[in-house]
Amino acid sequence: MKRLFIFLILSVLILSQSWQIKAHPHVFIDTDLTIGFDSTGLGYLKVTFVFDEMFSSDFIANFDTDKNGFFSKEEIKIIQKKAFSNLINYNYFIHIITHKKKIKFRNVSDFNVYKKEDAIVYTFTLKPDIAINSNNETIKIAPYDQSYYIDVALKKRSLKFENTEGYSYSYRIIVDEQMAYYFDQIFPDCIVLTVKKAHADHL
Amino acid sequence: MNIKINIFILFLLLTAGYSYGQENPLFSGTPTTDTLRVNDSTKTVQKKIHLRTPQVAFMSKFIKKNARLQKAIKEKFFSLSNKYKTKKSIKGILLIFMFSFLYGILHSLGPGHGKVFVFSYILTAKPKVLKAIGISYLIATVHALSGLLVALIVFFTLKTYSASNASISDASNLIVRLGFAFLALLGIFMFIKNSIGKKHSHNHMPEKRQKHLLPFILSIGLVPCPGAIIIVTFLASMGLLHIAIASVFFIITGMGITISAIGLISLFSKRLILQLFSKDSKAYKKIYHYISLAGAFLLILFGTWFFIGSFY
Repeated sequence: MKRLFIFLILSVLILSQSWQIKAHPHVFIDTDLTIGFDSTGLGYLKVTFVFDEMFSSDFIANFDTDKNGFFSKEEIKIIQKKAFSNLINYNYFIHIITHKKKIKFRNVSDFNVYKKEDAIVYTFTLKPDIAINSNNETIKIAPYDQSYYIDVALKKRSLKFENTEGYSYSYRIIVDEQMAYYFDQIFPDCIVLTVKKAHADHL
Repeated sequence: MNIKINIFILFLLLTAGYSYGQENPLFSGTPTTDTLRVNDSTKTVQKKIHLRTPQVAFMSKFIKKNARLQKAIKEKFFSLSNKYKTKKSIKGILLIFMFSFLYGILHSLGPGHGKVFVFSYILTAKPKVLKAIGISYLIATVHALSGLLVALIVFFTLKTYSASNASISDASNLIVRLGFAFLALLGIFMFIKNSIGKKHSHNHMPEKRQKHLLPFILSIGLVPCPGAIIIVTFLASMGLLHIAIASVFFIITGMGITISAIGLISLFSKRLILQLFSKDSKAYKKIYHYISLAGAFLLILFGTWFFIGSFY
């Protein structure tokens, strides 16, 4: 009976995080990121989501209501309201940590959606507003859906930087277990960016 | 009693809602847990210290690889279906079926699909190899067929694909909750039976528990398979409904292989443990009893946990 009790306790401990496991993922996204600087620091992130064709075909059938082969301004407005705005709850699938703090995005701009061959593409801009001074800052950026309903993959080769003048930076892409998600089972690809304001003589 | 239960579950199946689309973050929902242990930017991210083990790292790699493979298969599936739509051929159909089969294997390798329940159930009962495979295939069949049913309801009633329709979630949630609640009750029932069985049974082997099998299979399988829903609704929307229905059977075949593998692993593991005590009849009975109880406990726990989880 004692062993059974221990087993029961262990089961509870193991299962305490697994009660939400469901069959996932169902949708696939490839993510392009452009990291941009402004006068104060890390000013913006341009995000591009390319969805898988099967999901896209369904999506087009539902949202290209006039069936003319592209999304009109009105259709894009509807898409933003019905199939994008909820992403605020998921931090737009972009997770940033700096100074051991997570950046919560409150605003999104430049939302657009279009078709590229058979896939639908979302583009939008997030503003992390991370101040950078002359000391090295380490910023971690990882795209993923914490519910794992959608498999969000980072396209490493398409990573770009903009407005880097005045900053000295380096980066590496790692598999980061500290950002593990979906019951700590999946380690996302994470951009570890080290950046500081360059001295005037380096400009 | 079992007939009534079976009829009740079949009724639930026939009135099933839809599962696909219910939690797509694009359309609705909020994450139930913040993976970084913070809800806002004012709190410090807690460091995770328990993760750096080779097993967990391997699991992460495996899940990611599997997801990418599924994506590649879906891409192939998409182009094959488009080709078949314009140029019908036997080769085209066969390729679609082959990729449905592969998708079944890979999709069920990921989280979900009742594998953990099969594992728990096989610990409580004493099925033979063929029966373990049979249970796995029946679960795969019910799981995929309930997905097919959902997809057909969507296709014929709404004439639209379910992924973008948020209103379909309520019925789905209800059926999933009832399924898991039933599963927990089944676990309690089996636990009580096992406990009473210990007091009254003088046989070397406990009595057979086959009569619980059908409710068990139905309660797990009635959660509609989102993978099957995606394939069926996609093919149906292309005017290939007959191919869609046939594809589900190839998905079942693939899915059955994965679930059977898990079932057989748990069966052989259990046999191996029991073999160690086969010479000592007293110890054998004790171990057998504890393994059975452990399985029942797992069923109770998983059923309860999943039932609670369906509310979030």
